[in-house]
Amino acid sequence: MRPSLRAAIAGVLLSFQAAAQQPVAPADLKFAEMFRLPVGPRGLEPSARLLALDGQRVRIVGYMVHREKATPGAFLIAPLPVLLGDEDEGLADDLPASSILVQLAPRAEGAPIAPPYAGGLFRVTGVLRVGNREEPDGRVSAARIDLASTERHVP
Amino acid sequence: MKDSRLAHVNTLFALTTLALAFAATHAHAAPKVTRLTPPSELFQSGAAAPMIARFLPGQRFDLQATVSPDEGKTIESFQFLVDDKPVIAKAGTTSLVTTGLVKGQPANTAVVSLRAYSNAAPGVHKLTVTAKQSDGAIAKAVGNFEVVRLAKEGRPVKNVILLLGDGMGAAHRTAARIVTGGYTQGKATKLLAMDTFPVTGQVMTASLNSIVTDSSPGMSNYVTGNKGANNQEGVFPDDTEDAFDNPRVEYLAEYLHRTQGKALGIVTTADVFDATPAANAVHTSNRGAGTGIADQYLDDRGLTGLTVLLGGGRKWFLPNPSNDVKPQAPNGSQRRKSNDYVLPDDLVAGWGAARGVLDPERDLLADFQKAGFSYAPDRAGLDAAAGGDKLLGLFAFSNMNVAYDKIAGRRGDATVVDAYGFPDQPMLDEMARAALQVLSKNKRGFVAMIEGASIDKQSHLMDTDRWILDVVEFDRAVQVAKDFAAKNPDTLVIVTADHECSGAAIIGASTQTYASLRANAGEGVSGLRDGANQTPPKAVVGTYEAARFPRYAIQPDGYPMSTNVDYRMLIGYGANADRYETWLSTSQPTQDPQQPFIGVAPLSLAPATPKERNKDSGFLVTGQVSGESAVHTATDIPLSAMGRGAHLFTGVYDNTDVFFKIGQLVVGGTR
Repeated sequence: MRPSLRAAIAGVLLSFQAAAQQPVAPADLKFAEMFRLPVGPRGLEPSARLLALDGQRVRIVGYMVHREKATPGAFLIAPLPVLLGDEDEGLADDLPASSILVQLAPRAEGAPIAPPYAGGLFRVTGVLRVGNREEPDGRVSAARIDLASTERHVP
Repeated sequence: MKDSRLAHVNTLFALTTLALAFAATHAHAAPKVTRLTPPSELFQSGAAAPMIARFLPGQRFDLQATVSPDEGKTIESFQFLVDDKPVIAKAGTTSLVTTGLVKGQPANTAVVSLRAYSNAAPGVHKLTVTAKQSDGAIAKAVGNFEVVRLAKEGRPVKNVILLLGDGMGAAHRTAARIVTGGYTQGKATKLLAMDTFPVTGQVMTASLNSIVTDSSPGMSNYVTGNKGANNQEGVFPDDTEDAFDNPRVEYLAEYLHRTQGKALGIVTTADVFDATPAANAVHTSNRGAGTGIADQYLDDRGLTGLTVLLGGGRKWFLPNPSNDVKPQAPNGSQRRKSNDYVLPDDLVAGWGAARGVLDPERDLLADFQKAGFSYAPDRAGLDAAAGGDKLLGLFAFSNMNVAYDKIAGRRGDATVVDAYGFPDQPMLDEMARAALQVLSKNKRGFVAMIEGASIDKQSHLMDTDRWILDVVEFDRAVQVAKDFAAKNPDTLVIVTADHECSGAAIIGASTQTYASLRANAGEGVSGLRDGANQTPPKAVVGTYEAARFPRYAIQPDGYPMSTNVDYRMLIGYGANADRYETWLSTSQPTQDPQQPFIGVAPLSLAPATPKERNKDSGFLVTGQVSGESAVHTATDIPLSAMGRGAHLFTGVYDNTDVFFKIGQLVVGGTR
């Protein structure tokens, strides 16, 4: 992808910043901190830190998930670049369990827009919501962030 | 001829001419049969050959047709005829469906079905469907199918072990042989277990709708005897949206469980809902419908005889009772209503199948245990659970780690398996041994499918060392099956693949040491291909006699001490996407996005795609295919057979032929 195009797409993402500024500094969350290791016989167990941050402002760095059919009003952020073949795979996805749904703030006017895909790392800040929830597109999200801001992350 | 009769003939001729003219004028308005199942060349093109659909005597399959009426009309009734005799349907086993059809069908199009038909009479049979339109017009179409004649030849085979190296072509086998044994003066010093099988054949792998199959029909063609379409398992294509209502064809395991009481075992290194394992027991047109596929394994165990299920895929077995009012704490469940299943009435009545429920809240793991399955979450648990009568093992959240990384873990470098969250995963040969221990308790015999799944997955990624070690792992499972057959002579063992993947080819061997290859990193084509930095310049890929005989040191665990040896074997790819080649192994796997803890260091540093892997150190090999992965090829693949009846597997034949050879041996017997 051309740098100019990346910059343009990043600009679109930056435009989703929420209007209100939060007074408390966000807690840094890493994908690695979300579940206990090794995995138990009956599945994932959320870490105490993940549960403690439920409802709190967090900041996490990850990749925007590339989807064939983008979801209006939301996008997924994952610990690695992921391409979801929605058309071919239905809802049997290749999404890491620790992926987070990033919910955009409602627009003042008009229907929600589907954010365009942008490659590379992003830092996402917002309020964390923990718990399984089936999304309108039929996927199960384990955690969500109500988006306050996004910015490009340079390691 | 008398005048009166002549006049009558003339009248008939005139009427016939008028009728033909009327038919020609109104041909475009007649109701039409657009699909007739089972598929036949007779229906598609009018040709009598090749015979597309074939069945064992008494094997069950659905009859179905799609009928488009004239505008403003509807289809009111239908009838199937075999050899011009109406098929008498059992109560509740027929349907006429006009809703939920795929887009693009004319208004009021009807899909008409008759479920679970069977025919015991060998030979080619004419299949006719007639459908009556609301104005009385009749739509009619003709196809055919064959019931294959079995010879009564003696003692039948009791157990069938089908080992499937997913994506494993001839080059994959050769590469594993070179790594595990090597050659000297042109002779292999040690053969693979699969090399020692006395009979070899060559298999054509096309699917119903392509010369290049995917893994769904690649597997199901072997165990249904019929061509499936890509992405579909144990069904024929249809014109409805529902992924679980397609016309079914009975699997080998179902047929043999129903007629002989045999048990079914499925063992894979992939997620158990993946295409290959599911294409032995589950009927769906959507290989990605994970919740329904996992459920159907258990729900229809009475049809399939499922007794052993080992692999990854724990995420489909965990309950997801979440709702908007009270979301549950995440447990990793990916169960969803949207890929679960509920069968239509006629299919339930015809096949005696479980109806299914849209129940993401189902604790499938607990249901397996209630049904008598011992559950093994890891290798230690497998050893304990193998003493039971039924066995479920779910050793990873999705696909299991590959042999390269599991072996590294056992040798003390558990970085990868620890980071993925599953440090104690069994090897495929250990899974195979446990499966055969359980299955052999059934006195009536069994069908076992044992899959080396990541031969294919790592070939897609063009991660040479990882697929080679997965072939080695697979061959160790072959040895387990071979040993079992030696002790149980009524056993047939078949080793093959569903298709070739990546167009892998052994192009020679490095002319340089490992240290030299490492030193060449970042030198591009000049250093890594042309060897321009050598004195004198020397091509890195040694071809012909310059390849000599690469040597690998094998450890007591059966795997090479390292694949980064001096003068190592080199692999090229004929069906590749762009990649950066260094000729060295990557210390970490190319990321598998199905795994949950990919963000854990050091995995977060792992390259995401083959294109990104080695980007700074390798040279670009431009691919012929777009995207990030190498692809399946249409190349024939080898098949090796041993045990009772193995002699039938010589020659070049279609993948569906394998089914009928097995049928002959298990039903008709062999001398």
